[in-house]
Amino acid sequence: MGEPHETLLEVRDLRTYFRGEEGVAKAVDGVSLTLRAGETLGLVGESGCGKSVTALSILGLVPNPPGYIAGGEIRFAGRDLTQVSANELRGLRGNDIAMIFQEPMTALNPVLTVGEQIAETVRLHRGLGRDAARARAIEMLALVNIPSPEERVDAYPHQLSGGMRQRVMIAMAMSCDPRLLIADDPTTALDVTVQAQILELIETLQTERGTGVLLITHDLGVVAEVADRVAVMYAGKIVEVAPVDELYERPAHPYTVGLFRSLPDLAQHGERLHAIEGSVPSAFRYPTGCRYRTRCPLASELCASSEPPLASVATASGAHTVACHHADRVGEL
Amino acid sequence: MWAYILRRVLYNIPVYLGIIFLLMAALRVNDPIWGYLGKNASHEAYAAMEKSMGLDQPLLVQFWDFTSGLVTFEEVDGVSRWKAGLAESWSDKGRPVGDLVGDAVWPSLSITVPALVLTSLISITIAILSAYYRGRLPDKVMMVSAVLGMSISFLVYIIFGQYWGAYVLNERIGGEFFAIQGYKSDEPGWWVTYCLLPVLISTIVTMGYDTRFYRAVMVEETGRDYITTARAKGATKRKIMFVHMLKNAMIPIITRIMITLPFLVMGSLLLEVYFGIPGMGRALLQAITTLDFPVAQLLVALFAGLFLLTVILTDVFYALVDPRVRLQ
Ligand SMILES: Nc1ncnc2c1ncn2[C@@H]1O[C@H](COP(=O)(O)OP(=O)(O)O)[C@@H](O)[C@H]1O
Ligand SMILES: [Mg+2]
Repeated sequence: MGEPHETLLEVRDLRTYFRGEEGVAKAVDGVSLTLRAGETLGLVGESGCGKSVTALSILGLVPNPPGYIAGGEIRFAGRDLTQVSANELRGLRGNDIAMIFQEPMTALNPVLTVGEQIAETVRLHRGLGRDAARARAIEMLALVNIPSPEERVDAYPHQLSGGMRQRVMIAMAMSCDPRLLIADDPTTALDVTVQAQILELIETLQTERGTGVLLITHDLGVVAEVADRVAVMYAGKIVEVAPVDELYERPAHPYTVGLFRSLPDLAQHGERLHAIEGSVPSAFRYPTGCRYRTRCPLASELCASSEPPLASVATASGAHTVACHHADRVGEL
Repeated sequence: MWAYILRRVLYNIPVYLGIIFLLMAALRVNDPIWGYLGKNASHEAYAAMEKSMGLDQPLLVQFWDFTSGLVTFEEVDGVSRWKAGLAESWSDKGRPVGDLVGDAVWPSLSITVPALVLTSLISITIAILSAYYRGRLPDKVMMVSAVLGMSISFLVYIIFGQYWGAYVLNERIGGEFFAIQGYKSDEPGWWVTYCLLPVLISTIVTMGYDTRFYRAVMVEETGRDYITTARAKGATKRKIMFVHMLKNAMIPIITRIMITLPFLVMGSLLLEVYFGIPGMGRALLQAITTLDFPVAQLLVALFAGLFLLTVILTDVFYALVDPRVRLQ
């Protein structure tokens, strides 16, 4: 476990592209992120903006072909993960960096028991024998609050509910005490009440164990509950990064404001709830300049001609950055 | 599990009886006796034959006699004999059809079963390797070979196999390694001499189709979410292919094997004819060409039974490999 504030993961100018029929889809196009040990960083953005591809890139799981890492660095524990050997990366996966996925219904292997699937991870990385691995699986199932774990260890995924399966995924991910947990939209597929339980579980485990968490979601409401800092992603880029309270109080990017407006529980009384107009641009053809300008109420000629860089916003924390030419006018919205 | 198997069997019994009834009716649409004796046969000869096969009885009575005969045994000269097999062959005068068919079972099995096992093992292995090396040279070589293999006719394989594999080889070594034709099961090494060459030919013929099918199955599995999960936990590629994927792929693989089984029996007909192997396929062909009604009737009933048996076995295998199959 690292010292608090020690940098655990640093992604610098990551570019992950996909070759397609229409050309190259720049799914991730210059993403930079920093995650400190024991911290929870939320990565928020609409569907299709490149969040999952960012996560898969970190683990070296981008399907190739058609995908490939076209540039950038992913520094983890002193190494650049874009440069290490496949074998070295495999040794990190599941052990130092673990991931849980969006779809608990399909992410587990249907023909293996959940116990076998959890045990596989610890056998791989810890070299445990069959019995020890099974004991560890039961222990992990208990840790994620699955009732009667001694029995459930022999259950097949289809015998469990979606929420239970996601708990199994978490048990599997945490079984080797990873330093970094990447959770890719872990609650979208679940009922609202179950969503809250799963988030709470992730939060508890991360505080107990000091795990760094990259929590990916399309729902700002989710990051509000668990994240320390939030990175907002749009069209393959990070457009705003801020501590969670600051983002809520003073969003500096028009897109972030738009995301807040479309949240049902945060819309002011009487104020109409509205989704952001227009749709996410295709990863094959981004607009010139600022990629959000086609949907932005503040867009000007400057936005079309020059791409705004991520720049500091003068705030108390000093940790708030935004990529907008008109960040000073966001208050007008 | 046993209760499940029993239920599947019981469920298929009425289906089997229905099939037998239809087959029996179909075999009687054109009068088999006139067909066998010819138009100029005497009424006495016709009547005698009709009586011996019970063809003068109403169809339902014949149906009852035949189907009950399939499951009863009768004492003949102090020996218990299968009743359905007691009817006498028409062309092989006086020979009980049961003996005739019984003699054909073993030669058939000694070709079809090894061919099925060999084909499945080889093509599943190639398919896994091909999927493993997807898009790279080994995959391309294997898939091009499969298509090449598929585009050559069965007959070409048989003829060339007999020529190069038996005739030329025997000339070279000055002995008989593979027989060009024939079947004797009482010599030492008989299986290699008489069966191995047809088995190899059958394997080569079906391998292209099977390999492509199994590869498609494997490739489809590689795109599933659980594969990403397995990769994310750091499993080795080998473990992913042989544990995670193969276990899931067993479901379509079993379906494929089971579906091909009845066709394999019929498909070996060509091999049996060309290699002179006295199997069931050849027996059915002979019964049809010689208008031997009792033999044909028993054989079609047996083939129908074999088909249903594979259906039942398929369900049982599903239950064994797929935990999602409910046994209730
Ligand atoms: N396997 C793939 N093949 C081709 N393009 C892909 C693939 N996966 C993702 N992409 C591209 O990356 C973009 C971002 O996808 P993704 O990261 O899954 O979005 P999200 O933010 O919803 O997780 C998609 O719009 C698509 O253009
Ligand atoms: Mg996603």
